Amino acid sequence: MGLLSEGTPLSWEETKAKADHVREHGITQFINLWKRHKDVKKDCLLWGDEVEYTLVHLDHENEKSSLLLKGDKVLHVLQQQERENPADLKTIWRPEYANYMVEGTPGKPYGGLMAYFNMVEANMRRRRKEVMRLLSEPGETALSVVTFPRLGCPNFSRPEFQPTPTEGASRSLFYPEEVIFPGHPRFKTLTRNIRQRRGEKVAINIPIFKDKNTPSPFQEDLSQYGDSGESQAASLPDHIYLDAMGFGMGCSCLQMTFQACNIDEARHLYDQLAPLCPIIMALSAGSPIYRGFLSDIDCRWFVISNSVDCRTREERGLEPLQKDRFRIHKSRYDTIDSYLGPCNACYNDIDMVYDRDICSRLKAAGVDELLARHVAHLFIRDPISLFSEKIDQNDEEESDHFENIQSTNWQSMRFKPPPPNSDIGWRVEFRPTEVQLTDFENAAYVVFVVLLTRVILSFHLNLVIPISKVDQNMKTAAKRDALRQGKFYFKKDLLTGYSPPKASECICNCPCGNVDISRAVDAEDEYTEMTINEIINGKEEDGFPGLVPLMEAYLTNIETLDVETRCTISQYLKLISKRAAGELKTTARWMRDFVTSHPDYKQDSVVSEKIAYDLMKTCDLITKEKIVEPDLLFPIITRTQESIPHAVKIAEQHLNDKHAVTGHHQIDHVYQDGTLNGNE
Amino acid sequence: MADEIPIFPKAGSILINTGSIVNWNRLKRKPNHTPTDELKECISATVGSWLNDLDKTKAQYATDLKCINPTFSSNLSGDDREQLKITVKIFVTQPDPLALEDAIEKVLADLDVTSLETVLLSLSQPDQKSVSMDGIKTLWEVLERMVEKEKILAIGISDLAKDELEQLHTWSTVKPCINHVNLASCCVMPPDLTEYAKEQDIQLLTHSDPKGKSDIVTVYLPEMFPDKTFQDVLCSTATEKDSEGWSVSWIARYTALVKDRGIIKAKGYLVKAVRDVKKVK
Repeated sequence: MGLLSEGTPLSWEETKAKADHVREHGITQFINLWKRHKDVKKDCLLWGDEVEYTLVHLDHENEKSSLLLKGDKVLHVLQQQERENPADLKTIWRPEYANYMVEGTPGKPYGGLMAYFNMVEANMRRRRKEVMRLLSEPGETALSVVTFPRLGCPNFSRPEFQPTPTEGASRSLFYPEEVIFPGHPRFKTLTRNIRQRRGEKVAINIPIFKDKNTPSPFQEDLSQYGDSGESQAASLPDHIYLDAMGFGMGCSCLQMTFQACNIDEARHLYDQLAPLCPIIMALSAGSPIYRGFLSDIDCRWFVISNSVDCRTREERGLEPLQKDRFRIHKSRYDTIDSYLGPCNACYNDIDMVYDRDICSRLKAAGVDELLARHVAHLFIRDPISLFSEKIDQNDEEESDHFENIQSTNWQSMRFKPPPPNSDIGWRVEFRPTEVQLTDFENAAYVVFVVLLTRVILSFHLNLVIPISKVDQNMKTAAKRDALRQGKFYFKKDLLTGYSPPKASECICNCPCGNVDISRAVDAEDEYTEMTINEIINGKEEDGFPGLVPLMEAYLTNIETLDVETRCTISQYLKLISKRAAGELKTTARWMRDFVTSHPDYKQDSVVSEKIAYDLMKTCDLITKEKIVEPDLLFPIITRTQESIPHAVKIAEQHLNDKHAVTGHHQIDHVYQDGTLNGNE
Repeated sequence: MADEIPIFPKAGSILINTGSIVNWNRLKRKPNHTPTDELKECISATVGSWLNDLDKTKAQYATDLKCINPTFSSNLSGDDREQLKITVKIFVTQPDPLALEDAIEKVLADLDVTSLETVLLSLSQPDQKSVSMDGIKTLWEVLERMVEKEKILAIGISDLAKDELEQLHTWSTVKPCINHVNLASCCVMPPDLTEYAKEQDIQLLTHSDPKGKSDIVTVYLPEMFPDKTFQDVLCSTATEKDSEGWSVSWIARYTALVKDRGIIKAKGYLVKAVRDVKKVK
């Protein structure tokens, strides 16, 4: 959702003029945060999730589905409890890019007891109920789908609006201004500024799925949408052309954030999860359809990446560098460029662009090389939204300038320092997961990732491979049917036996922190290509245990897992395992098959109004658990509940009482604003 | 093989401490091991490495053996003891209070701690008409004394059905706070058990130790580690003569969790076996 400061947004020119100011003070703010918190220890694991919902209208009479532009109205009511009763929140709601989206998180972070894993789904169910209660008109519903199949097709919204190719923030042939969330200027400001900075509209070209009757080459005549020629020139043959930030940022995802016990553990987990980004993304694939066409991708990643690509022609290497400072290889929304743990420096084998001056400044303040480069890399970007009231800050107490740059680097993982004036520690955010239709599935993916971090720390696993290979994996993961057909680079031997928070013990031979890419070349024997099935379920012949079996071993070893949590988690692992094996379809594959087997489908990659309506209607029935699609998901068994079982609570209390004295381990933690994400 | 000279012919008791095996990579390569298989591997490795360093001359006369694995320490004392939650599950086949007490004291000593957060008791049941509640009660009294002395903070039982659990709960002074049940039934728990557990604030926690069986005719909870299996392990690591006559007194499995972070810090086994040397040829 990003930084929602109050006030008056500056124009792009004014924002650009203040870029150095924002960067300079942003770095000062980071240094202050880092100095204050670098030695802080947090005794408790805290974590949370974010689910994005899409408001949809199903016109049963006319068999048409559309995006319901009611985000602002719905949010106003949803946020009432936060205004009136902030101390006892069970859910928290925030706006998102489009006015058909709302984002919900748990009211309080989950904690370190195993029983919390059993609460995720119950809280997600509560959130969905809260939204649904406010959608009382016939046909209104909330779905957690990654994309709406006919976003950008004529009259896709309700109410209906027309795109304005020659004015407004997007200047899109397909995306009306009114679809952007109107309740806060941030989203329109970002849209306009990205376009103005770039010097042209964003261009997203998605390979189309070539079916029997798909025109070859596939090339729309964009003049029918009012194009003067600019878009036609930016569009590619055999691709679905999109031209607005809304096509990317209007996609929905599932995110998890967790607090580490100290900065070293945060950096360690950041590194360990990075190679999992493509794997989890492929496992959760849910977005095969764009602007009414079946595409050749199953995941949203590169759509969003292109939709906010603010790089100028110089930065993109299309023209020689004159006005701009750097040639930049990636959009500000993309995969991370480096590992953060000193022992993984030698796996940073891609050319990461970073600001040398900022890096030196950070190092002079005591920040180590790797972390300094990471921040200096984030800070090659200009701010793309700035509010007049926030220009002058107290760098000791505020961090808006740092957050400005940090929150508009939308990367696959985010390393989050503690916000000022709060009790929250160093956190890691895992961002690539595609949202699923049901709360059960979403909970399963969330629990899987967070539980995996516990397994990684308990068994001292090491998943790190050269980061260039992780980038390659991400490209593989987005492709159609990557789950069954993709081969992913993965560490051959996950078992190391070394202890991460003791960063002094290094597994590689090079001096810690030495950023020398030559080691990565030697690392070739450390990784191999595997399928998702092998990674998740294991490959016996190679002695590769698989992530799910390792998790089962962890759960057995825990000794103190209550039956209900165990039941729920085993159902979640069953889902992940079956999806990985291809026994259950990913949402993307299921949607694709739905379209291609629909009686109205003409084998021409076109997803008509009728097909889209039927698809959305079926998704709604699945979400409400009124029907079961056995190819997608088995009948749900879950023991999820909204609170820790009383017996568990009592037992913990009893042990804590007996121990007394040394600090307190409360079960319920409430933070200033109730969330793990602070005000970001 | 039968003619091999025994290494410890006079040994009448053996205490094996596997040390913390949580990071032992060999085990993680085969994550689907049952606890019994896992214990077999651990005992084998511990005895094996102990034999390597053994003074063979002295061993000929030793009556009480203590095998530890130098690679894996079991010491949990230290700065972060306060962060740890130690759970110990003790498996016995006989309701022998001395054996149970011995087990607890040995665990405390080897882990180098003054108290254990939770101890779970598992008394195996031979195939019979009903659970031997008297046996359980005898052992339970040992646990209650330990709680009084603050050596254990909370105690629990394993694999009891509702009626037996109720009997134990009603009779006991220090109530069981846990009933440890096999995870195969986690999604199909008997409703009378879950109801009762909820009423009495008894946690139903899961294990993957050998599964019991109880129907209207008989009750049966298999041993965690049969004597024959133990003897076989000794036979393959030491000699056949060295393996004869042993009977497992108790098995203790300890797990140390970092409180509130869900991280397993340590896990290991202690095993005590005895034999009457006079009866061994």
